[in-house]
Amino acid sequence: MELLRNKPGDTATTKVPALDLPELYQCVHCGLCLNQCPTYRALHLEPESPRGRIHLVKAAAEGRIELNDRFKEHIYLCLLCRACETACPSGVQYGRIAETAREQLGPPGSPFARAVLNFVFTRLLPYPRRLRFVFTLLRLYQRSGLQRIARSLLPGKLREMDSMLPTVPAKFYYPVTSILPAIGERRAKVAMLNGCVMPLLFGDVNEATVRVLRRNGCDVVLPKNQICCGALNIHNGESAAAKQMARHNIDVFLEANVDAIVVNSAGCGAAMKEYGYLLRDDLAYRDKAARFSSLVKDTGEYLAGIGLVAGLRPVEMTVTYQDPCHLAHGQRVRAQPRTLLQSIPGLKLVEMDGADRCCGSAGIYNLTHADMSQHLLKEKMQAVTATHVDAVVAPNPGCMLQLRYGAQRFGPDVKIYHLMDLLDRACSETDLTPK
Amino acid sequence: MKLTPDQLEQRLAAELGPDAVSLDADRLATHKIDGKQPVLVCTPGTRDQVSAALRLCADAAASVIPWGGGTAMALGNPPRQVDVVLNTSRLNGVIEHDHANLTVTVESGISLTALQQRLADQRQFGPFDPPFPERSSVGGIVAANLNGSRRGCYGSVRDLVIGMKMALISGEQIKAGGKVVKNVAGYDMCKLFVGSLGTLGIITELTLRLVPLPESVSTVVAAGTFSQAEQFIRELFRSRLLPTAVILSNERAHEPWSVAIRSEGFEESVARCRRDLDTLAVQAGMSAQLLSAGEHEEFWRAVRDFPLQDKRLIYRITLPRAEICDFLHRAQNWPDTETTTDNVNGTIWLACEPTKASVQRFSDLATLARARRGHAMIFAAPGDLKQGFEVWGDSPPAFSLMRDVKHQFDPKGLLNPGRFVGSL
Amino acid sequence: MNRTDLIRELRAVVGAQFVLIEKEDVIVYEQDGSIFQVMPEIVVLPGDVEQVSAVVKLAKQAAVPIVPRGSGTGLAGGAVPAEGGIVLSLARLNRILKIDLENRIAIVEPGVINLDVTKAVAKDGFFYAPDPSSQAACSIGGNVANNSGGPHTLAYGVTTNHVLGVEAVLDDGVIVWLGGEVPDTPGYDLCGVFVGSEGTLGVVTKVAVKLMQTRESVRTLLAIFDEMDNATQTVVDITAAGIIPAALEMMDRTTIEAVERGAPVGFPRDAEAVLIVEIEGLTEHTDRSASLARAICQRNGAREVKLAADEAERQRLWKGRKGAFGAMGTLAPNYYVQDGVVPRSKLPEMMRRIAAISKQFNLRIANVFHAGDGNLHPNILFDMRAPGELDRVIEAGAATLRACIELGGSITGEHGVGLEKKAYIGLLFNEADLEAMARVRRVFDPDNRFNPAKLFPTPASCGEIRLQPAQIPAGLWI
Repeated sequence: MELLRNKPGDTATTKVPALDLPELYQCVHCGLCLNQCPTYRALHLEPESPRGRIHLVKAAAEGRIELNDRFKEHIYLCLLCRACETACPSGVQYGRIAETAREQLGPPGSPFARAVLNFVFTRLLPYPRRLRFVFTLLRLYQRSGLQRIARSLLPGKLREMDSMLPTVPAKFYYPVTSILPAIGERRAKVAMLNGCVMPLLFGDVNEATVRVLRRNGCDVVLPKNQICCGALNIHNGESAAAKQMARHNIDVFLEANVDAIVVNSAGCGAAMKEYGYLLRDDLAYRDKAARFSSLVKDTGEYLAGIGLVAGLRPVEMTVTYQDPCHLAHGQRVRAQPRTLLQSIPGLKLVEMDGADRCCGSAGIYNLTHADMSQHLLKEKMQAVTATHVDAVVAPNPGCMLQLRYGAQRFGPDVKIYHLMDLLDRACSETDLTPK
Repeated sequence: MKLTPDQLEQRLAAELGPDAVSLDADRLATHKIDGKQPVLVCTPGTRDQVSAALRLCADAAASVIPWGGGTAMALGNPPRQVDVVLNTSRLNGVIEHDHANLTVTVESGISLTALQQRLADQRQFGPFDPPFPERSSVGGIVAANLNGSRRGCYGSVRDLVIGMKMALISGEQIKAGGKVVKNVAGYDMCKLFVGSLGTLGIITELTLRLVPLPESVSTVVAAGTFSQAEQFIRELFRSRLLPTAVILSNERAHEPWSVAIRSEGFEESVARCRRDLDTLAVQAGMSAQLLSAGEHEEFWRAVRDFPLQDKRLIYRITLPRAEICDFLHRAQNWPDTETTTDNVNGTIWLACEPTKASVQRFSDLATLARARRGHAMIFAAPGDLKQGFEVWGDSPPAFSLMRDVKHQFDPKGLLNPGRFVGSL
Repeated sequence: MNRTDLIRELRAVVGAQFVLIEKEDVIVYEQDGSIFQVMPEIVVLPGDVEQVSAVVKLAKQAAVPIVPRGSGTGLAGGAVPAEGGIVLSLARLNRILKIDLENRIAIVEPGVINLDVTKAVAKDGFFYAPDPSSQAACSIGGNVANNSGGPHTLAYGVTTNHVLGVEAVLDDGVIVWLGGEVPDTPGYDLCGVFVGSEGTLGVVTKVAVKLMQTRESVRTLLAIFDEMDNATQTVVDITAAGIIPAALEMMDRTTIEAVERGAPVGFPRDAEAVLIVEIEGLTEHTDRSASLARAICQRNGAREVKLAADEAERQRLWKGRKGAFGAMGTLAPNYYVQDGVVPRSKLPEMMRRIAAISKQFNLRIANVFHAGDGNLHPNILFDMRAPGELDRVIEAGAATLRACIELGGSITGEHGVGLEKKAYIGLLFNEADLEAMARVRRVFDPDNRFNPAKLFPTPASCGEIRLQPAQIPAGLWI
């Protein structure tokens, strides 16, 4: 067979060694990822598929194409849902490829957007008190009637974004005591990630999580100095601050000396399980990071692993389960949350079509790529409608916000719960006052 | 023809030997096509001789009518011109029976029965069900695409042919496919020649897929009214049974209708089918009868030979199978018509008296078939009745492509001129 | 018509979003599943048959080639634009237009994924039989172009046995049906020629496919052999005995080693070969066939024959089989998969020849393939970086194909000729044979613009073809 090989001078521009990842060479172009990729399903364009994006990164690494705007658009239209990793028979770790590419490109959007994002990633997220301050202002804005006035004045895109803003609740969750003891027989000591956004928007979910853990025999430690896990940074091309945040959290949590580090937010859990990879070049933290990551468990994963001991009261409801992408694809945790739901008496679980397909939330994607996000959300709500359930369970704040918005905008009229909400309801006897 | 019959005869005799050519009147008389008699019958002995004969005929601008067993000569439009009949009966060898590969390579003139006899040595057979297999040549079966009742189980003619050698009118010899059951090298030229009625070239060799002779065979006949038969067939297709053949027939447009189901396979499989069929028949309110060995032979022989009954006008209507019963309802009212319907494959054979009145029904039939996404054709009829009709029915949408293909292979239109679709 | 005009006209037909010309957009279309890469000039993604027709007409006006593309999973380079022109992606024509269960047919657009056809009818107890192992990715249109097979081809047939008709757009933009919704349509079987024509005769825009009812029962056997000859003889004997399994797959020792390293399922590492024999049909049929097959395995010295006790065990066996390719990475960084086919009676001899070729070229070859229809997939393992190794691999591949031909087989059982094997097609067919095919092509594609430089041997193409040997993942196209 006569073959024509690469001619020299095939490169159009300089090579990018940082992009020449070993993971790229595992892709054999089989295409099994295409039909699992939400953006490919929407557009049927190869550059908007995992296979296509991998090819682009490889071409950029080889210097055959530039890291220009078009390249950036393709890389950032990706949701980073990692459904492709689940589908891939070769075990290509697409997440790593995409995150590395984004690191080279920096945050998405216009220069103004990038500046805002950089500010948020480096000056806001790592600082819990500043975040708290911002959300207090937001709460004021919403409750004072300012928001109502603003809505009538804001231009289209901003108005849409404003309507997507969740209602900031009356209380944040920052418990005074950092160690909350087990109720009943003590089986384990776990540390919990409070998170950056969870305590501000879903403080009740964190509170519920703590209760469920305590009722099932866990001493729950909430280290005071913990900060944001850095997931949003990593997903959006910011790695310097992310690494700092990782190092900080590793030190704080390892010091707590616990059996497991539990996380009730899928995106954070995935990021923290991958700290080992994030800090792979950091000689001082590499081993600590690996040890840290091995302790990280999603709360559903953890509870299903140790088994529930608390008695469960009935919760009469039909629900469907939305697999958060970073739980199902990122952490390969699918069965455990379902097992837990099915153990609640009176609760009926109905599977929906495409339960593990992204709802379009994807971190800040619903802000940066609103059209695609809404398209996917609409499809998701159609799938929910077909199940005729009362509620959707999604153990991730991003998904919960997105689904709530979806129910409001597209219907059906369903409640959105975190897994811990329902477990808490089933476990609760009387209210507990923390000691 | 550019030469006289004698001149052509001499040239052919010189190439092929005198025994291979005949101007004998009796011989010519037994080789008529739609009443037209050839001037010469040529019977080559090898495929090289076939090739040489075609070349000589082409040089003489003589039209050539390929003739296998001569059983299906009533097929097609009447020929425009009949000069030479090229009879393949001397190409009757079995070239290779690769029993471990379930394939056989044969010369195209061998009769199906002769082939089956050879294959039976290894308990195998070629699952073809053409009319008159003791005379029908394998090449003819393929060229005329003669399918029978068991095609739904074992495959149609086009599915069973995996390799072919052909001689073109220019004298060139070509081949297509091969000896292997999976083969995607190059265009599937075998498909082009299957059903081409010899209008692109003469098939000289064929490689065919075989199947094992079944351990056991039986036929259950359920009899009842038309609507009972309809219900029975519907339930049969809903079940998990895998019938070898399902034939719905009537007796001269009166009730009762009967559904005959043939089952082949291991004894216990066939026994199971019998039991299930009995149950289905009872549920449909029909009587069920198991045919004796003799009745079974007789029945399937009749079904097999139905499409080429002598001195009848035979229509073939092909429909999606769910449309069959509705169609038969309408056709029921036509007097003096027998029908035999292959319900698995949606083929309805209508046999009528060979009269003007019968042939006038064609356009109604075609309209009915067309409306149901199927097609109708005059399958076989006496030559005089076919005059003025396009027996193949509606012109196919891709007819211009077909015409171009014909032109590529036979630019002067010497092979079976006028008999194929659109008088190609 | 110059390039600028063409692009403008194309944009007017399909919308600017679906005409790709920037390097960052088209470069992802330079590759399919094969080792070839050619940078496309223009990629167009029409949304319906009218758009396909309009694009084809424009291509004719501009006298540029058209390279149809399904999912880009082909292994022979069929979707690589070797001579430039327009890559015509059919990915957006992805609707199942009609499912008619009573008549057991479906009409689908070419971009529909193979497995999605079965998924659409599974709950009603039906399936679409041709099941290439890439079926979760490959398109029906691509299947039609390559006459694709799969493990269950053995009992049920390949794509051409399941296609009743196709609607196609021809060279001049005309939309025409070949065949129909019922068999025996009058005239030449142009649909039959179209299937397997590798995109050289026109662009398929609709396919009428047959559906089959799922069988009542399935029995799956695993037979373990200490000698390759015993395993191959078993395949011969099973075929000769008239047992027609739904699937009959073989894995050799090297493959087993890979599986047990990568994703172990408990295949014995010291066995020379294992066979998976799967039979479908009525319960009575499968039980008897399985017991006959077992006896044949034992008669040929099988060390052990196990019948899968339940569906879970059956799935486990198949997982091992389908995991074979993904696991190959445990043995070598690169491999080159072949697709020869021989008559089953010649299988023992062919496997001996492969062993000899392995020795001759000093390359490890892992065999995992559809033994039941004689369709081989020898995987030549190597390391691209080792100097001279790639050349030896290519020579070893050629030797395998020659052996197939010598034994009365063919150069390709299911992957197609494409770019990869066109140099060998002359070993199978002589000039007259190829000229006959060329005549058919002339009728459909007089200007040789549909997927040029594929299938038939041509002088070295002017396009610049990159070479990228691929690793083969789990369970694909085998």
